Amino acid sequence: MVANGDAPARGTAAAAASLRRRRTTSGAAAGGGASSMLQFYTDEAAGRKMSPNTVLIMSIGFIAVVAMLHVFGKLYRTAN
Amino acid sequence: MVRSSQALQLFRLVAALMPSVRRADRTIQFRQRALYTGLSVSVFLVCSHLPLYGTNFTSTAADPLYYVRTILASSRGTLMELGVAPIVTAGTVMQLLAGSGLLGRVDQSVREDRELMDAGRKALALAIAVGEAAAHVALGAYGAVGPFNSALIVLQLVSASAIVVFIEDLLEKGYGLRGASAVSLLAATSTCGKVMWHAFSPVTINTGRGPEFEGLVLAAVHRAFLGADKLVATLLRQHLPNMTQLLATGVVMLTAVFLEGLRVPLPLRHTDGRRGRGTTTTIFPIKLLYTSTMPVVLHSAVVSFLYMVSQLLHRGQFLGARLLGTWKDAVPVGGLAYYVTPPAGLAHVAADPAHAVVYVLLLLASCAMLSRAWVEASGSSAKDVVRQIADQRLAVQGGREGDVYSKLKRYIPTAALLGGLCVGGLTILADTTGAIGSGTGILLAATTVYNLVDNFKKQD
Repeated sequence: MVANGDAPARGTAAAAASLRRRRTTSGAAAGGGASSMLQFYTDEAAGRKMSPNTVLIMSIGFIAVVAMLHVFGKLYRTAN
Repeated sequence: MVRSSQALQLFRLVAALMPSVRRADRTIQFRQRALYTGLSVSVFLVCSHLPLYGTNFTSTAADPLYYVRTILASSRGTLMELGVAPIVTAGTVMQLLAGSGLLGRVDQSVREDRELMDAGRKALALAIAVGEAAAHVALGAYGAVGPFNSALIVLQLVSASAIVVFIEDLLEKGYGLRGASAVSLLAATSTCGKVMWHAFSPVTINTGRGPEFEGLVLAAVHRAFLGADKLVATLLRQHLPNMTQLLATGVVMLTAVFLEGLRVPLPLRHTDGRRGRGTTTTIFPIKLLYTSTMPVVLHSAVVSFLYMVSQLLHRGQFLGARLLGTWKDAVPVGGLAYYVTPPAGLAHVAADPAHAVVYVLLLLASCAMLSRAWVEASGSSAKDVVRQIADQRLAVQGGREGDVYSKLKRYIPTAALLGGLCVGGLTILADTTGAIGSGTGILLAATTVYNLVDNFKKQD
């Protein structure tokens, strides 16, 4: 793929739109860094679909769970 | 219709079970995308500061994975101990499998193939996470932990990796800022977080001079009120972040940004007879840093693999093991492993100049070679670019058919080589001056931010 995938996507809006149609979003979104060269074609998968908010809420929930673990660990240790 | 490869169909079951983020059905506004990106990155940052529950650190042994931490955005002893390693490894493996044809003919333009590859990649990332987490616990990275705590630690690490997988998915499916891939965003955030922390941390540490702020800027301001000489002493303190480190970081970052901007523009025009305001042209820039930071990343990957092998063999005590590397307290002191380790400061360079020279030569040579190899492997060689340009019905402005190829062939291999050397040289500079977060990390961060800003200017 083109080095950072952003070159032909510049220019006029028409060019950019048509080029974006030809290439997957992740190609155009590739910037510098490790996986810019590894073109991940992230398209619809057959599995369950989630909305992005679900991901964020679940991760915040996970953080809360681990924080609770720490808190309860400290509490029970002082009780013992 | 072309039949997709049979091997890929094996992933069908995986694809049905693996949840994924719904692709954005329309272009999301910049502000929302910035918000999503900010939140995702914050989640990652919080996770990389939250310590694991159930660990039993009895001693602060030296960290064998110290040099790879920055690239993998991992923080020792926290939820993000594995960092982005599972995703990157899974992606590389999938890429290699597809490229080498082991999975049969995988046609990237067939949507079904893409879906299966994507699901396979996610599943592989989780599997790798499980493996790495188990290995960390079994090798005693967390001290002596009982079976219940071990399982808990593995569970935490795997869940954290799952979060990284889905955040990456979220950012790549159109909800993240354009111009930077998710992995580079997370790694860059990790580095920037470190730099900010070293500059502004309000944590006070008790030193011989009384309690001092860990953050250099705060400490300097605090001490400035006590007189000029105290200020200088604070700026040059040894065990906490000091002025030279911050300055070095700044210099490396500016150099990286400067190098990023060096490019040879190749003006292209559309050949499919567009109507409108004359011939619309786009510019394809051939960057000096053609392969970006990949040479150093690959070099680090190879080095850390060498470390792992050498450390495992070290217990064996046969001749080959000694050539590969001899270790003392998790630090290599002999053999190949020693010579690929950066010298730990100017004093060490003076004590063993051969080490420094060999290290520099090895790094530069490997960066140049890896850069050239990567151009081929990632499909950005002159031939591939010509094909892409032709696919998009562009041509060199004012030139004929063969012109594109010859022009590209003149510049791309040289750019790859020089870019590799520059990146290697910058890493050496950063490591010897003690810049915060290691040379590679700063380079990655500077590149990512540059691309983000560039993209922001061009599109919004």
